[in-house]
Amino acid sequence: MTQIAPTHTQHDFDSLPIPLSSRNWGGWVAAAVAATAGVATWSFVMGGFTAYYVTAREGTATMIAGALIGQLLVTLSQVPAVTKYGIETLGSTKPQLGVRGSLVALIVQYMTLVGWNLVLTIFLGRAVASVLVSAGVITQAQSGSTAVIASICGAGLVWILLQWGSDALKSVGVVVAGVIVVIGVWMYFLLLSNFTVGEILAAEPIAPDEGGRLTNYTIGVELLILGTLGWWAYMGALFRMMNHAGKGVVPSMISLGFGWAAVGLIGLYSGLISGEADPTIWILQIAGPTAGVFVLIFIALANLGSTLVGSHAAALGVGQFTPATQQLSWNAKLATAIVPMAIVIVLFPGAFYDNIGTFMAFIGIIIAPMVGVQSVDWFVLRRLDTLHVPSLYWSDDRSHYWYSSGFNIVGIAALACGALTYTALLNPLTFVPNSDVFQYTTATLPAAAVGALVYWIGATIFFKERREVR
Amino acid sequence: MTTGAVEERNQRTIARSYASRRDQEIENLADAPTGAPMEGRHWLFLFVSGVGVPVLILLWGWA
Repeated sequence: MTQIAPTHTQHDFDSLPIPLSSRNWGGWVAAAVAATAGVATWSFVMGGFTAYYVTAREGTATMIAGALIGQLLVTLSQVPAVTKYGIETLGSTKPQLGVRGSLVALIVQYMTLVGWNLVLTIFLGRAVASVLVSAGVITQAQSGSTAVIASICGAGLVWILLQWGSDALKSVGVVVAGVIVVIGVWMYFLLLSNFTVGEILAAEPIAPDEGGRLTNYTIGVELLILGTLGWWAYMGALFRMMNHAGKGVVPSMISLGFGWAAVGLIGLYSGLISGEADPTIWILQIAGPTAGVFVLIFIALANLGSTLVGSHAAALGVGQFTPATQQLSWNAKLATAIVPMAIVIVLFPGAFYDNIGTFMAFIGIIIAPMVGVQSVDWFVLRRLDTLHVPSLYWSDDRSHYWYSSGFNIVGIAALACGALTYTALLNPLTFVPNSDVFQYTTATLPAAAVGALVYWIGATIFFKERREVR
Repeated sequence: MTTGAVEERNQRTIARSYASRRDQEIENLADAPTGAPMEGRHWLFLFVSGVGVPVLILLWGWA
């Protein structure tokens, strides 16, 4: 890969950990890249969902609190380990799931990243088409093919930028984060100059659950905790370039936790007051096509920035799994992340986009126990201090994380118990509670707690003597 | 020995050499220097922002 990007260190494209001497991201760079990843049209989508259940005041509280709680869990499960050892998210799951069992994590990570990348690129294509139609450049009949072409161009641009590996994230991230903040502030200004604070506060939820105010309030929190857990898949790619866990905490909590919720509030308020969380619609309606161009710039930068980080993380994840995938070229790893996207964009973008919620809900309920399992393993069982890094890269019984034929049954059982706990409390497809307990606990927090507890008990019973501490 | 056989033998030698170098590189990871852990103030920030602030905000939103 060095011949493609001669200025960049080989380690970035390699599947091995980033050496301490090559980890050169400071707090500000990490904050900018994390903001680039965190802020995208999914923020508006999440704000729009929240508007179904709660008022503006309640939604402000549930979105910010839910995002911070979710990001606390993600931070605990990832930041200390990836910054200490320079490893990637998938590699960090091998002690808990086993060398082969980490296939579960690979599937969850890959589906999360590629799924969200697809949502963002399809949305970008549609936004380009929408603005071109409203500006009279193309006709409505041409909007479908224009959207597909714009989405494919977006995916192609991401591929080109990622030839520079994490340097691309660093360079693009700082610029994109600045523009996102400026246009985000402008969106708030536009919203508040067209609607009074009183109007926004007085707006009723669009379609609240019949379970009462507390249930709806808890659903608001749950939406953001579950959505925020999606960052788990991105954390290795975002933070393994840092050499100090402490420097990663602030960017993680502020840029990823608070940042995406703060932009999501725009979607909440616009959803409540106009019934439309999508800024390409409500801003065009109230401010015309010129403003639409700024919205398009925001969406292009925000979505491509997030897709850039997501594709980088997916390529790194695929490159961690087996010796065969470890030896793939960087472009081959990138192809595993971007080619499937291109196929879906061309063949069935509409069907995918309309059903993404169902798919992502099932992925989310695995990440909830995963963060609990990893947190217990790092801190309670002290694996953070004893991790045997070479074992993350051996795919045979030399690895300390080989367990039973490559599977850590305790870890996998913990994930299953956590996921079952989640579905016992809340239907992840409809967000209708399955139990009255949900309104007091959420579903994600018990799922993470059950996963952690089952793992702790199982590991204590079955792994009294760990190979790496013998 | 034919040219094809020589080529094949060279390829095998290169592959063995790569695998051996790679294995050594992986073994060396056990002694690689590691990043600094979180300090007390980082833990404090993490739990204030991830627990304290959310609890206060949720109480405000509910009131």
